[in-house]
Amino acid sequence: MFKFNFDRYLENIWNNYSKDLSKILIHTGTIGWALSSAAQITAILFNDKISAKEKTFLIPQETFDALVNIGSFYLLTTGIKNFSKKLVTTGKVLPKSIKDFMDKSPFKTSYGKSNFDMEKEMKPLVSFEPYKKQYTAFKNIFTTGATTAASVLSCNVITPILRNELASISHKTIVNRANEGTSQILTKKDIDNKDSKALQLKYRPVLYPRHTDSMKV
Amino acid sequence: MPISINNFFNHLPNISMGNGNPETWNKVADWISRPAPNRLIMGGTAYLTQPYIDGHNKHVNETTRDISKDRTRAKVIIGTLAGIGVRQPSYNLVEAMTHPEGDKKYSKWLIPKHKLQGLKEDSVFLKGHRIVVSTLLALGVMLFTNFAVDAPLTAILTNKFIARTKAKEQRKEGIHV
Repeated sequence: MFKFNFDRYLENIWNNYSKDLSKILIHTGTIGWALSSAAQITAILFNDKISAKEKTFLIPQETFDALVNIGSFYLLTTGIKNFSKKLVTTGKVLPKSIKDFMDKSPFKTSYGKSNFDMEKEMKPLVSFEPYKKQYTAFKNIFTTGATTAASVLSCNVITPILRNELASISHKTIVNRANEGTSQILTKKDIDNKDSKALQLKYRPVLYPRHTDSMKV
Repeated sequence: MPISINNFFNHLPNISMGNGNPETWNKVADWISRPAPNRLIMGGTAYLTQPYIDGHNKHVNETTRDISKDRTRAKVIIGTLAGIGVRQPSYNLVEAMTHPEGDKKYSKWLIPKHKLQGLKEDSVFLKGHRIVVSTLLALGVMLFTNFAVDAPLTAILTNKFIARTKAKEQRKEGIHV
């Protein structure tokens, strides 16, 4: 019989996520964005103060918000996070005191290169001992700062621009499909026949007039 | 010489930054990484950028643009407040249950038993573990609050913003007439 072992569950979390927080941010972020979008779409659907024509833009906008957020977080945020970590672990970006130390060390020509590993080369050195704490703290603040900046850029600049572009395409498609037939010329036969499909199309309520901006008085 | 990312990287100059206090750096990094402050940073910047981007979306007409901007503004405000309201108590609860040297009955409840041996209060893994468990707990709570709190409150605030925008436009038109 299945027995839930809470301690094993906690240990799995510790082993899988606690060493690399970006993994949990991506996994919970994906679920969180999907859930939030589902809730917001429900709210838009049931909001009677928002007309059907605006809903044809707002619903795709909210859907693409979640999709683009997940995509840009995977690509941009994790990419910048890894790059910022590489900048510090190769010695490309360092606090001034550590850079001065490196310039006098035997590694002065090799640090800052893509294959250099500060953690492997420097941490075992006794002479590097006084700088270890500063190095670790610098790596912590630099990667955390870069990841946060990347998250802001990804979620609050790139996502809204892209989701609006995509939602606009979707919105136009819906509007055009809804307005299909409204501009067709009716024949006398169509007008006489009240069940005519062409007549119904011509005089059905228009969901959203084309070129609304230019038609505005 | 072949052009590659590594080659490009190697040609970038080595940069030095100021000498700060490691204790302060760690404190700031820990604070930013916590779920509630992180949500505050994201929400604050979202409020500055997202309504502006929606308000300048030339692909839709003016009315849709205004409604979209008002809805985004409402969503950001409610999402940030509800997000912080869920994340901070979740973090506090998890923190109270993850003290390896704590003497209360529940102090070690959320630390895996195998990891307790020699675990110090300032362990990087312990700090990460707190963030992870509290994020998971907050996600569980948000399964409920997204639908029961965020969505209805966003709708109410959106409608208030829409009414205010309409009133503002009417006042403007009145002045012109």
